[in-house]
Amino acid sequence: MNDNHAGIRSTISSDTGFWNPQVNPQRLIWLRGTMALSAGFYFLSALTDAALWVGHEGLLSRQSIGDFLSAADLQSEARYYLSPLWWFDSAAAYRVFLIAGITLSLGVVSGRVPRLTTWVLWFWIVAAANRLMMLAGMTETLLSLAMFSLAIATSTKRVSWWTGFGTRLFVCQFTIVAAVFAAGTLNGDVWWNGLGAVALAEPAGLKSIDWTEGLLTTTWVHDVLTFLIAFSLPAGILAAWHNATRKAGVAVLIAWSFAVALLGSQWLECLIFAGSATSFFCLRKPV
Amino acid sequence: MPNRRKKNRFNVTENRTEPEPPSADVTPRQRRIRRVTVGFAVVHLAVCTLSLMQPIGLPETFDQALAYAQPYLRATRFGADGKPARLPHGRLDEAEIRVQVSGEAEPAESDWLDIDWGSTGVEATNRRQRFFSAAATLAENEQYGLVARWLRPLISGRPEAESIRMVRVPTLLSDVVQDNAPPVYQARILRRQDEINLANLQPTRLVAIAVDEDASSPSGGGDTTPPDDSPNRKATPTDRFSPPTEGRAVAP
Repeated sequence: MNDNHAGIRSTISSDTGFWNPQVNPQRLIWLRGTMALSAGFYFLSALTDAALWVGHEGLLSRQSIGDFLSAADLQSEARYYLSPLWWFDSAAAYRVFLIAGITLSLGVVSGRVPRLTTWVLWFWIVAAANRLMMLAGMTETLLSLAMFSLAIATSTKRVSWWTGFGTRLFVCQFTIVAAVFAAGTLNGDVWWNGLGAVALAEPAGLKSIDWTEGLLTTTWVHDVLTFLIAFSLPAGILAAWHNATRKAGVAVLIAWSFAVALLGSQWLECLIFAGSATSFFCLRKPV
Repeated sequence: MPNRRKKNRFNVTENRTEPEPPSADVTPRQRRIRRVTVGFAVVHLAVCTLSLMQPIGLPETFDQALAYAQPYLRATRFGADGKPARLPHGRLDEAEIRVQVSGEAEPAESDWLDIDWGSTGVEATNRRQRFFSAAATLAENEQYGLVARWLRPLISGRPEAESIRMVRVPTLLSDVVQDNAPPVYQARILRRQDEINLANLQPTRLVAIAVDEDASSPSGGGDTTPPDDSPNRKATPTDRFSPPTEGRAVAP
């Protein structure tokens, strides 16, 4: 009983090893670069169809969203989607914002900018996601969580308590996202009956590569792929938290991201996922 | 051994021997700040977990607790905001939604043309898919007025369009009933000067009609009769001359 209480106290205490781990700063910088690069790709992808969504003729123009929210009686729900982009309802202003976001991302990747820039980049991601709130998905959530904890981790000039705390927060956030992702995936019948890989590759018309007419027509192939994709995520997370199997766990998580990206064309989300998996290497002793 | 410090080009100083000094020398004020920060982190992680789990299903108590955290989660984009955190389940609402327009007021199947979005990349395609999936969900919940508001900007740049619809594209996992389902949404475009309105044509729907046992009915009691409001029906004068109430079903 006392041992249990000691374990809980150790977890929530600020001075013990859990929230104050030893960090490898070079790897932390590499992680920050990967996440900033992902943010750059995110802004770049939004540039391609900016005029479709924002501006007077956009599907999500301020007028259109206002009409929708008032008709659906959702104004009170929507007031927390804060973004400076609500002030400028033009595609040109949105493009300038995205280009500034790309510049910020490249600045953080290069490391030749003040440390405050990571916080600014986080704000930029949140602002872009909140402006197009109806389109935002897991990509935005993953990026926001990642950049927030990295901004904390790299907020001091030297390696400090905040570096360890921010890195630990990153790893915990990633673990929670991956665990919920695994549980949510296994909550569907297709991931138990061998059709999960087909569900991932559908709708084929929207994917970069159409696997539904070639690879996935063979039963044993989609059965095996479904099994591997469904169970490698929880297995990878469990393995990454143990010092002895950390490398294997991270390798499994990266392979999982690559397989999902290839089959489901979720390239950006999987890039962020794979990059986040390497956060286990930033801690010299994860547990 | 000297405590070698090397400043790299990323503004982080690496301490090569002991990366973290022991925390015994922290001041009480620093310790207090750290405790508050760790407390915040624990609450933050709990709230994020609840938000991510919400689409899977949460007990009511957690749901209420999450409602208090929405300002924090939405303003920072830490929450899933109702979007499921999982790989696809092959459900009907995950199928591709195609938006089609026609220059005909009463179009045949061959008159419908897909809207050309150009080559904008996979991420842009995913964004469009999310948007039209949400519009399709609204249409299925008979929120035609809201769907009309969402689709109106698409029509304003296409003066030749007379009709618009959203259809689900069959997949390998959809069954024959789903493959032959009527369009998720179909509407006639009504233009009056600068104003654009959409008059929704309701899809076919089976309606159970209670029939008195004594009443003479050609099909017998308890029959399930489809009403005459299929999308392929001919438009009636009522459609044409009724006030173009936006998004509301035109009475047959």
